[in-house]
Amino acid sequence: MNVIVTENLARTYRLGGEDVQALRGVSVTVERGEYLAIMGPSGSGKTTFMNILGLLDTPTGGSYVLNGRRVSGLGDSELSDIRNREIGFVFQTFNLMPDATALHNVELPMVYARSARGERRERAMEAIERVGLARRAKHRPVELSGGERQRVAIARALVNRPSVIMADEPTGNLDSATGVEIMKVFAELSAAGNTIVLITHEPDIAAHARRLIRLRDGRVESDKRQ
Amino acid sequence: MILEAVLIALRTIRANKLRTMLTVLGNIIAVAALVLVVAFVQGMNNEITRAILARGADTFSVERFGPVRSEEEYERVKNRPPVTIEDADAVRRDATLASHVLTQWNLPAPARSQRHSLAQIAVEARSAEYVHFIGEPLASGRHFTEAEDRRGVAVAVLGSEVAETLFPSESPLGRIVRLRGKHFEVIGVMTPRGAIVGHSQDKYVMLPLGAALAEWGRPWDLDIVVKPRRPELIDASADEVRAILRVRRGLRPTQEDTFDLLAAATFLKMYRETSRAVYGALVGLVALALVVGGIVIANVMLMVVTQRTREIGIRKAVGARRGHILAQFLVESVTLSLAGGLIGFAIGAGITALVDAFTPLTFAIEAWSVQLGLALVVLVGGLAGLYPAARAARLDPIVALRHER
Repeated sequence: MNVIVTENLARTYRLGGEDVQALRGVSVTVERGEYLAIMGPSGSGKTTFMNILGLLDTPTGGSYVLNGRRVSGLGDSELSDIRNREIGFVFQTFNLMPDATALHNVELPMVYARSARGERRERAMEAIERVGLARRAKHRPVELSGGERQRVAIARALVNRPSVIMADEPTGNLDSATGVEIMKVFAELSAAGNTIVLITHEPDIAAHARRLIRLRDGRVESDKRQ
Repeated sequence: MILEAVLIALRTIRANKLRTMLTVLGNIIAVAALVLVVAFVQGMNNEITRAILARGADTFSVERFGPVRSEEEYERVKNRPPVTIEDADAVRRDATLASHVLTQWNLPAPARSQRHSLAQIAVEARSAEYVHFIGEPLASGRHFTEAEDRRGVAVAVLGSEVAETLFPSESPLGRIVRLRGKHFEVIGVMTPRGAIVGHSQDKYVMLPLGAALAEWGRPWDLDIVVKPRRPELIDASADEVRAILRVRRGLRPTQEDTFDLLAAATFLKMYRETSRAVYGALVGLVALALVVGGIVIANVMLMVVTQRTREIGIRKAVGARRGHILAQFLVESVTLSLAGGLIGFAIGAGITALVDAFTPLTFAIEAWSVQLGLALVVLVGGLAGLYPAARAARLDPIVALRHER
C-alpha cells in the first residue's frame, strides 16, 4: 500500500517580486514500511519537499495523496488533524518545549489528539522506553544531552503511531558517535515496520536508508534502491 | 488543554513576579478600588441608615430649614421665620392624623457635676410626649411626667455616657447636674445607643421643656416632631401638618413653604444622592485603571507571543489547530489578568479588614463588588489577549520553527 503519492508537485515562492521555483514537478511514491532518504545540495528543494510532505506547507501545483486521501487543498484545521495523526517530525534542532519534562514533550501530540490523560501518560512512557530514556522521563531538555534530546523528539514523533516519520537532518546537531546511535534508533523503527523519510545532505547518513532519492534544482535527479 | 494553558500562565507568573505585578497593576488598582470604595460606601450606608432610622423611621419633624448644602440654598432659607411654641400648639391642636406631637428645644451646653464636667453635650428640652419618641429604654430611674413639664420642675434624664462621665463612681439618681448655671436633679439614666461613624450617641441630657422655659426664657426657634397614628399615614400626616402651618402663616398657593418637613426618608434620599456621586467617580477610576491594565497586558502578551514563536511552531507541527493556539494564549491572558484581579481583591479585602478593625468606620465587603471586579478583569484579559492570540494562531509553522530564540 502506498503511504505517499505525489504527482508533479510544484512550489513557487514570491521573493521580492520574483517567482522562485523551489519544486518543479516532483513525482514520488512511497510504500508503507519504506526507509527513504532524500538528498540534495542546499537549494535543491529538499526542505520544501519535506515541508509539503509533512503538511507544514502547501504545494502551488500538482497533487499530494497521503494514505489514499488527497490532502492538497484542505483547510488549516483538517491539515492540523492529519498532521497530528499521520506525521511524526524529528528536527535537526530537536524543537522540544524547554519548560516541559521529556514525558510532557512526548505527550504533546496526544494532547491535541484529545487522548485521555491515563492513556496519554501510558503511551508516552511506552514511547520513551522504546528510545531507551525511561530513567530520564522527568528531566527537562536542558538537563539532557543532545543525543537524549533527539531521542525524546523521536519518542514524540512515534507516540501517535503516525503513518510516516519525517526526519530533517536528525544528526545535524550531534557529534558523529551520537549520530550513529540515533541512526540505530531509526534502523530499529524501520525494522519494526515504520515508514521513515529522512532528509539529509550527508551521504553517510543517507546510506542507512534502503532507498535514496536525489533532488537537484527542484527535480528528482535519481531514485535508487540500495 | 485549558488546564495546561492555565498552568503555563501560572508558571510564567511565578517566574516573573515583579514583571507580573507591574503588568497587572491596572487590574490590581481597579479591583482594589472597587472593593474598597464599595465597602466604604456600603459601610457608610449601613451606619447612616442606622443613624437616620435612629431618629425614628415612623416620625417626621418640622424645622425652620433642613440640612443646607449650598450657598444658594442658604440664601433662599435664611429669612424664614422661626418655628415657635405657637406653631407647635397649633399642630398639636389641629393635626388629626397625629398620635403624638413633640416640641423640642435644642440648646447645646457644657454639663457639670460636683467633680466632673463635659465640654459640650446636646441638651434637649422636650415636652412630656418625648417618651413616645425614644427607642431605647431607661437603664435606671424614671422619665419626667407631664405634670413636671407643665410646672417646670428642674429634673433631668441623662444619656449613658453623660451619666458615666459625670458620676463615675456613684449612682447619678438624686444627684445634681449643672447646665448653664442652673441645677437639675437627675431622675433617670438611659441605656446606651452606641456610636455611629465613631460618634457617640449617648452624650445628651433631656429636660422638661417647661423647666427650660422657666430657667432660660422663650426659645427663638424650636423643632416639632410628629408621630402619625399609623406608620403608613406618614405622608398624609405630613400633608396635614403642612396645610396647618401654611394657613397659620398665611401663605398663598403660589408661595413656597417657609419651613421644612423632614422624615427619615428625606435624609435617606439625600444620602443616597451623595453615595451615587461617589459611585460615579468610582466608575471613572475603575474604567481608567482597566483600560490602562488592558493595554499593558496586550503589550506583554505580544511580547510573550514573540518570545514563544518557536514553541508555537512546535505545537503546530505536532498537530495544534489555529483554535488551540488561540485558546491557549487567550486563557493565558485571562489568567494573567485574573491574577491581577485576585491580588487587587486581596489588597482591598486586607485594607477593608484593617479599617474595620482599627478605626470607628465600619467597612463591609459586598459580594457583588468582588464578582463585578473579577468579571471585569476576565473581560479585560480576554479583550487584551485577543489580538496577540490571533497573531500567534496565524503564524506560519515553517517560519515559527525557524525563529531564533
